[in-house]
Amino acid sequence: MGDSNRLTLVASDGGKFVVDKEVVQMSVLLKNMIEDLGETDESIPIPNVTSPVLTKVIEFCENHRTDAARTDGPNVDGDDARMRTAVVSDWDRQFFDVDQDLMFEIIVAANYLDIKSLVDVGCKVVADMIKGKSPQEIRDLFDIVNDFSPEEEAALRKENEWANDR
Amino acid sequence: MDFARKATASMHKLPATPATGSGKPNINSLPAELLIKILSRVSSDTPWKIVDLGLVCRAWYAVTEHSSAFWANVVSNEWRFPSLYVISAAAPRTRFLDIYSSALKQSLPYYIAVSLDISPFLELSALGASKSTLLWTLAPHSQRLVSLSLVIPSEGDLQQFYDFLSLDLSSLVELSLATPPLTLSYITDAVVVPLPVAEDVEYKPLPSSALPRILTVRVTGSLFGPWLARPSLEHLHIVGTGAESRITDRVRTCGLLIGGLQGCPRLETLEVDNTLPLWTMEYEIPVVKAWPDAHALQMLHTCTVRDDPEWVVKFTACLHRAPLPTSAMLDVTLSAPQGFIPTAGGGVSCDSSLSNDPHIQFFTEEMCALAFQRPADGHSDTAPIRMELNTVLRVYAGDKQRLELKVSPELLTLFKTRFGMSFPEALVFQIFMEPRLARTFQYPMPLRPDIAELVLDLGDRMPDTRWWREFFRFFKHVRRMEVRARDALALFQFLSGKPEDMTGLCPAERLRLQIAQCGIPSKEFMEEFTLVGMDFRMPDSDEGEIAQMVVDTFVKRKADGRQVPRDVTLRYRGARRPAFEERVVSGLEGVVRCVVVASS
Repeated sequence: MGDSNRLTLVASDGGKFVVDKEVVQMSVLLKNMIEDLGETDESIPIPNVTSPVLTKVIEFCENHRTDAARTDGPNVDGDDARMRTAVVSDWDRQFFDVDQDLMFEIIVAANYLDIKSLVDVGCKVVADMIKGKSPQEIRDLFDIVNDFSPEEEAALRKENEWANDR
Repeated sequence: MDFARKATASMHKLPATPATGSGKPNINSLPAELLIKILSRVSSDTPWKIVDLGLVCRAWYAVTEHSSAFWANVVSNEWRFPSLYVISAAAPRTRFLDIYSSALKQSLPYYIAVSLDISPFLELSALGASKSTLLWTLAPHSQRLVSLSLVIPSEGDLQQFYDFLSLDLSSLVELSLATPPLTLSYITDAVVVPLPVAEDVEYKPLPSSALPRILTVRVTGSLFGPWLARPSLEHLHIVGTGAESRITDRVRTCGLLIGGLQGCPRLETLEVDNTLPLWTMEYEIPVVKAWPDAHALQMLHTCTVRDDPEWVVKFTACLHRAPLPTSAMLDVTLSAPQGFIPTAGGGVSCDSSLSNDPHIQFFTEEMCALAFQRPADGHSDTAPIRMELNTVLRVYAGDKQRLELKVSPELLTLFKTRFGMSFPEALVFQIFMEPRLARTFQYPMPLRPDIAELVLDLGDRMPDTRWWREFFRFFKHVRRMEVRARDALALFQFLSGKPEDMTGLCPAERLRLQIAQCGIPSKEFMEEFTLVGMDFRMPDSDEGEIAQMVVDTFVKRKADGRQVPRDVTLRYRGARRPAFEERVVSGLEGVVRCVVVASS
């Protein structure tokens, strides 16, 4: 019987990570899984998450492990009230200072594992990247193809003129 | 414009296309709920700019045009008016209000949390723009409101809001009301002072059907009164508007606070942050004296109070009369007295004697009773009390924390500079200085705090023997006592009963000391004594002398027929000192039942 306070996560590429249960329980998905399994030495496969991404997710959870016990304000359907006022800490901003591929993979993994705080921070970081940029700058930033015809775009711009007239 | 409508209409029929150029992971490959979450966060301070996002690609256009979840999030961002230039002209203002109205409609059927800050534009009324128009835009959606946060800049707006509350707000669980911070007028460059509450509102009750499910209210003090007291309310936060609290943020009178609290029988959380009222109006005296209502505060779990010591002391007297439930946690922070306290106007009583008082009275009989003796169902609570005293006073009854009393850094500095005292010293001084409080702590008073365990952390301070005498006068009956100190010379001098040095004392002080020393000796004395952190690197800290001092202290007490602790534990700093340990253990053999000496 191994250490009952730790368990092993197995990434989609076979990478193994031994982690404190307290840390893992920031993931609602894993928390429920642990409760269902009870005391066990079995590894938990995480089929949708690669080792580099899982490494980052665990790093975030390790850093925020003391946040887990905190209670948050009441939720609003469609989103979380907490997120509106959340300020991204320096550590979190540094944490997401990675290439875009990895950044989006972390957010998707956090969503899959149901780690609300990581999803929130990730979305806020991406939103901050978008903030203040023109549509063309946003397209350039995220490599998005403009699939509007020039006429369609011009029509939409005209409709939005009021908001930019400041 | 026709062309624009046509183009827009045609786009509604088009499916959102994957919009990536290189096949790499892309923002548009995220699940829809994540894209919605991100986009709705983008313009949290200027939500109307959200329309630009729809220009990026069809996928984003689809989100901004068709996702109710997206619009519920956008509506739940804080909405400020755009610039005065925009809002003061009729056409853009109308367009802005249309956008807001449209956003609300597009968020159907989601519940919404709305935050409106119109504070920077107090002069809009003068320019012909109605702020209330914005508020009443919410009216068709009142049933979907779960949270509402408003800045109320004027009496007129408050009256409008009062009327707004008569709508069907059956889902509203959270309400936040604030007055704006002091701002510079855009027109006159003068400071705009928020207007006071309309007097006909503050005592006007809402219809009994209003806000049936409200759980949480967060309100600037000046706006609080019985009109906001709701039977369902569980969490009430009465706070200032910013870090530097203003006189205008305070609850206007005691009657409004007391009257308001009496209307909230289900209150579990109460926070009063630098907003306690300074005055009681003459016509409110019956209301204040009638406190408490039989049901007031009976369900309170946590009460947090931060303010000048004088106002806190008065408020804790109210809490004591309530009385605070046995299980409630009282969290008190004493802040430095404000330099400016205005004089009272006509018809108003005001006592503000604190500011220049040499003694800051912060530990009173009422606070002591709330900390140590809370009657439960008419009986005294019998849970064992643990007390911790360092830079904070913490009192626990069983596992439950009952009181946390702390002082702001500024007040702590004041204690040190003006009185030369640390917080523990100041607290004992308070008990000593207040005869009624001192009597409470002395044998054989039946209400004397029955403390099972006391942990006293003095840090680097080294109180003199006189302080220790006062300390043991009040706390020698504590069953287990742990003292954390680097230098315990004065403590052992006191315990060994060395005659007190009376040089330099005035005759009155000398007489008082002599009387105290001749007092009837009590058989009470701590059963377990622990000293942690003794530092041999302090000046005059010879290991052999200290060992002898410790041994002599307890041997002398026993020889004099005085009580000695049953168990003694010494945990010193630094590496092990076997010779010291051996000397203390062997010296105390037969004097105390159990001795433990070890490095900590």
